[in-house]
Amino acid sequence: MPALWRFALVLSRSRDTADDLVQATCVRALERAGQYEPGTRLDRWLFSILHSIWVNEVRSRKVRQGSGVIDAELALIFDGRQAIETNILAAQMLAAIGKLPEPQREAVLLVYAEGFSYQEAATFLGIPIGTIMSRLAAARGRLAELNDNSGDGDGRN
Amino acid sequence: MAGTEHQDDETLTAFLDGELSPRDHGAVLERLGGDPGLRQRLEALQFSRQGLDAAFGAMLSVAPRADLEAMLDRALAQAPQPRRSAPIRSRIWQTWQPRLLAAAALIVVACLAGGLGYSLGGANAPKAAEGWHEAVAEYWALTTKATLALAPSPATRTQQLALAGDALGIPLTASAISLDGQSFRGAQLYEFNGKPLVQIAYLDPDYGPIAYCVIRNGKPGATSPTSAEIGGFNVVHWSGDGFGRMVIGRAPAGRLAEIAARLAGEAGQGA
Repeated sequence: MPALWRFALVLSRSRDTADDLVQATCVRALERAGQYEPGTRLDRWLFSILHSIWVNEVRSRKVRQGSGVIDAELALIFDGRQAIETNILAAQMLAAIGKLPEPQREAVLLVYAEGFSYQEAATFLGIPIGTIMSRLAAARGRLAELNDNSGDGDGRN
Repeated sequence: MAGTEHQDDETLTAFLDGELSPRDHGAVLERLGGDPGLRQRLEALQFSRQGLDAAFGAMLSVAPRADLEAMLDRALAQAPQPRRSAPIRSRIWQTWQPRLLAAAALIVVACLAGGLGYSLGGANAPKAAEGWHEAVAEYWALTTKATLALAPSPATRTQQLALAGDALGIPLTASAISLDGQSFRGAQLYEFNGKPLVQIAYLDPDYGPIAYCVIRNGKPGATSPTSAEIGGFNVVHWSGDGFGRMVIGRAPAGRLAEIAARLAGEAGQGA
């Protein structure tokens, strides 16, 4: 459930919207419990429900309302700083993730935080694997820029 | 600067993420050896994995867990139900199909436990690293002495190890993986979550099949050899330098620990 919320947060960049998305996902999942195929990964099924609610119902509404697109960008930083004041690199990383375009944000979350393979991420998002690669390559370029500032040379991937 | 003008960025990204086929991975390695520009570009695409893990971990740690549970309760209470006034959970019991019920129960468990696949570790624990041990234990349960009855010829062994080493991007030689008293019974290449996974099988005269497995998972950090029991097997696992390793079998834990120490020493890890 926290991982589901994190996915919602990364997509929406807003805590309130993340709460709403998870709430809607739970309701939808219970309504559609019969469509869940036993033996498949339940977490990914819930992720896909949340993603579809975001794409089809919530995102467009947010854009129409023009609700804090700029402010929302800062939500991630704020959220992260609460927990990791001392970890400057992580805070910078949060800010950098927040500034990525949505397609890159979701690819980074799925592959680097949730451990999806490229193929799994491509299938999940319904896009070609090449698109996943180009999104991750672009995201890597942005995230790697932090290295120059942080002086962190360890744990690179 | 990040830029889409770099033709090799996607290939290098897939290389860093362990997503290339063994052949392509080898090809990139070869190119990197003779192309300083490409090495520079590779460097430009490497971000701090620790920083990213910490950032994502921070998001998990600020998740409103209590609110999320309350949300789930509300969702359960609002679940579409026909008339009747029995308590909600018993109404679900009476009216939903068994399959649907099982799924709903799973959702509840997953939501409360923090999600299937996430409940195994803490907020910052690597996810995939947890899963592959279990996956190996699952298929290793199908292996018997009869499976490993035939020993590959030296030539086959060399070929298998070369193929496996290519996939992992590290040299695997017969001497590095040979074990006293254990007869080599083949090296197989698998894939777990898109990551190359090599399994080297041995037949112990007393305890039957034993496997040494190596996965290139790109995870930062290192852990020293740790004993565990997974799926009814004794297991010793360790990691470092972007590789996860494990030894699994029905041999006593002490015997496996000796084997792990020898292999970890060869791999330059945790010995």
